[in-house]
Amino acid sequence: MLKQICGISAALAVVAAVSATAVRASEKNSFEHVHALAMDARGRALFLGTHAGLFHSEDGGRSWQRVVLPGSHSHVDVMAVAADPKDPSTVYAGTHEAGVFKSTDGGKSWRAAGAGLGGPDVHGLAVDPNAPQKLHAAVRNKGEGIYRTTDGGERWVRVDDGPGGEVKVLASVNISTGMGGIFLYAGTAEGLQRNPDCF
Amino acid sequence: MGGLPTTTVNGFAVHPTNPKVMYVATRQGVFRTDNAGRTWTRATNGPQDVAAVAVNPSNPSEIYAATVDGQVFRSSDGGLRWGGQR
Repeated sequence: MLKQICGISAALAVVAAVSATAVRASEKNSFEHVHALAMDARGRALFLGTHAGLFHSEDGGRSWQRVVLPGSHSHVDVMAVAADPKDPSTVYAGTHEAGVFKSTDGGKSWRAAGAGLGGPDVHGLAVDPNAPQKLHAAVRNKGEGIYRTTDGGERWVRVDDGPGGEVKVLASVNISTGMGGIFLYAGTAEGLQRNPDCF
Repeated sequence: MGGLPTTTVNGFAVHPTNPKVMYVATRQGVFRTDNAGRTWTRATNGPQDVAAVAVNPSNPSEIYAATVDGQVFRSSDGGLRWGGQR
């Protein structure tokens, strides 16, 4: 099963297309509904996750270019975006329909990176600031729960049921729990919650 | 959570080197804490109906906020004051 999933991931590793027309931030309807925002480690590129897909800006959000993620989905709702805090080339996107995607060239090309997730609906992605190959993902609906990868998204394992309430955003915060881990924060429909990440 | 509204938290971001400094994005605006969530303050001129917030990792005074309907705003002083729509 794992090989099959990885095989699909490899097949979907196509270069992302960027639309020729830039989108002004003021053209609200282009985004439909914003879900997530992240900046790369170098502080040059912003990534905006929206109901209308993933957008990329190199001018501090004045203009945006659409990023087309690989796969067969005609519409992808990008629920989460997370940048590697040390490597400006590495960015992750979590989607409503198709799991997690990863770029290792600053957002130019993307590949699927969701093997092991119990469902496709990813509402939060958190990169560990101390070990950026370690991430947590919040999955809703099918396979709901918190998942962890320790190899940059090659393989995910379910580790917890997750917080109560709909998860809107997930983040690893470098505050020691005193138990060998750090805290995982979740912005939810019921407020801000946190939990030690040593599930 | 001190001054944090007990409403939906849409977005969250943390200072890259001082994790006690955090930001949340809510319908009421962007809130900042300097003490890991004991107390929260909100900029008086910040955007409302905020979906997401991000800190510039290489210049943590620079904060970006995106509203639900896609307007993007920038603060250059750690979220105390906000400029107009980008």
